[in-house]
Amino acid sequence: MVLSNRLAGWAARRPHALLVEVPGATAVRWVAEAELARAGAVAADSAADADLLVVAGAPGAELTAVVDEVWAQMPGPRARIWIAEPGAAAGAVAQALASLIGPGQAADAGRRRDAWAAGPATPDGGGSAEDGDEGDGMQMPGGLMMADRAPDRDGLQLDVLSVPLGPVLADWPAGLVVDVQVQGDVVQRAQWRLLGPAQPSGPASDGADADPGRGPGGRAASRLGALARLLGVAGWPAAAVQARRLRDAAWSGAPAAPVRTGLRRLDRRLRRSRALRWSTDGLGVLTPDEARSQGFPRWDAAGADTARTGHDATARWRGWLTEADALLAGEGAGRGAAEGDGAGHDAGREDDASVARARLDAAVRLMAGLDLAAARVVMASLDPHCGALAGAARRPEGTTSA
Amino acid sequence: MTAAPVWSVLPAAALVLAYASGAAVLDGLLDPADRDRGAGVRAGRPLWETARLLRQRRRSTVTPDALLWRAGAAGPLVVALLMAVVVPMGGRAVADPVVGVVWFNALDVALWLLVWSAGWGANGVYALVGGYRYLAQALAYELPLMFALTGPAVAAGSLRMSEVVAAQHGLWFVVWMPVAFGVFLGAVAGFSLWGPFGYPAGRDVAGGVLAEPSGVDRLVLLAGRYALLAAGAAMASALFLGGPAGPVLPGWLWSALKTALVLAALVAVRRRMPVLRADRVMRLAWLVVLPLTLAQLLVVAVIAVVVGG
Repeated sequence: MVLSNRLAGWAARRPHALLVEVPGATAVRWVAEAELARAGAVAADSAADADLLVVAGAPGAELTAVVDEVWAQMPGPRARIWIAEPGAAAGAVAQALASLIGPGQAADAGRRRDAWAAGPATPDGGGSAEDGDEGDGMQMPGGLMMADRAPDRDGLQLDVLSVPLGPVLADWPAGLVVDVQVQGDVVQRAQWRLLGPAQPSGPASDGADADPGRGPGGRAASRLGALARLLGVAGWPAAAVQARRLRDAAWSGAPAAPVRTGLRRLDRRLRRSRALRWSTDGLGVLTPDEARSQGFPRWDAAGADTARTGHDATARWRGWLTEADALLAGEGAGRGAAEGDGAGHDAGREDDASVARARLDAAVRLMAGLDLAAARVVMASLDPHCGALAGAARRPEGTTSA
Repeated sequence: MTAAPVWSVLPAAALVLAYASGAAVLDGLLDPADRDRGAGVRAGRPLWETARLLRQRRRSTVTPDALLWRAGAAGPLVVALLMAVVVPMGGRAVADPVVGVVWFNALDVALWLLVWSAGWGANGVYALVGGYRYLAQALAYELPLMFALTGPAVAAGSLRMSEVVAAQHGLWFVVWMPVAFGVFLGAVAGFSLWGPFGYPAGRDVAGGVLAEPSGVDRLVLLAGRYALLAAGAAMASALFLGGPAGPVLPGWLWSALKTALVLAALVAVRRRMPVLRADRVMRLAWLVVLPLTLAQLLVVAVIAVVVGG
């Protein structure tokens, strides 16, 4: 008993948290992330790695079903919290941490009926880390679908697997599911859909604190948040932490000067990194027109060599650095980088929705023919603002093939 | 160097685990995410993580290939311990076979199967992708690694580790084989799924080979990763840094210090750069690193013939 209490105490010093962001709840996620970091928690990569399941925002029915499935995949001891608004984060996190080492865990473990323990007759999928289930149709071993075959890009007959990417995936846009068909890890076809919040968040329901994109600090924070995610996807956690700190500082309205100093340091580090450029160069290239209509800054803001490489992922993260600095310096309105050129990302809800849709369409189009790593860099570099779409009518679209 | 008694397996294993824990402590200390927390909390990270994973339930998936999965999870730790058997520390090794260098190389190739099994056995998409990524990455570093290992062996005229160490009397191999040394360190990071070579365990595929295991399986797999780094660092100090050679201090201390330094460098590099994706690394590995390693080997061979003949 003494030993297990000691173990529990030690374990609670570093819980791993899996975050599920509901579209439109970006601010809640940011606060929850900061609160979790303060409590010593780290971000989990998958359900198997997680002790805490943190749902930021109020999910709709479909997303709730996914959350339940992820919950069932967590090994335990486990705790789940729903954070509807930023103010509730601190209390909820503290409560969840307490329940992780509380007596309720034994009862929870006793009650569980895990899909994997039930043997091969379960009708449900869910054996893999992603969260949709393909279980209907033929009865297959374990209720899982077998792979089909189709010719691949080299003319060979290879297995085709249909896999949903998201919506619970580290550094992935909120509520987004991209149904991909992969051969090996190469995406052949991709199609996106959105799992929305409980009620469409109209302009009335989201106040200033629910949408971080308003105000220069918030807009700078949203660039830095996108950058943090891209760095996470690129596998550079140390730099991602730096970006996330700056994001939180910019959003909390801290004095701009120290934030800009930190930003300059990050800027130098990233621009000097040949390895990062290697990982993002030439991926997700947009034409100048597409880039403009999707709310990306003018080419000159993104760096001189954009003209040579096209508007690729590298150009976009460089653009975020430049924009964030300009916004923090208070030049945002005048530069055109952040608002001009019809950059609807921040301007108004209607524009936001169309920009987000354009970015998602571009993302699934550009993902085809890439391996999963590159496809994820493309998605992260386009940073579709799914919250803007949540209110708009949902319709599946954006099918594309290699 | 004489062959050690059988019981020396135990202290050797303890040493590997001690170095692995040290690496995990250092990694906690260097993590910028915990910058604001006390040094004690940061240094205790292996303890917190171990406690957490010991407490965690062992999870399964729907219809896993349980045998391959569990074997794959335990694989890295077992391989690291087997590697350590031939690595001399302070002039003593558990065993000193005539093919010591080949033994190390063969074990690192065995990792291909084991890590792939860890990915395959879980029956999950991300884990499977992670397993195959390990193979793709291995294609990039394995040939350069083999030629890098050949350098010290050619210079010493032997594959026996004790003779490779003895041949560095007066001049460490790192001085005239810097390329081989660098390639070897890169390959150690590669087979340990570490830092820039963490591609098979990438966050973009929900942790890859780490996506599905939990509890004690995960603990053994993560410990194996650090143990591989430790075994690789010890091997680097014996192959290239003269092993126990050094002034004033006793030989065993020199071996220990050199291993610790190499290990610290390997741990620190993780914060310095993003993951190098296999598709991008491949071109570099085959078009730049491999020719450079071959050129290094040519130089070594010519010198060995001229000096030896």
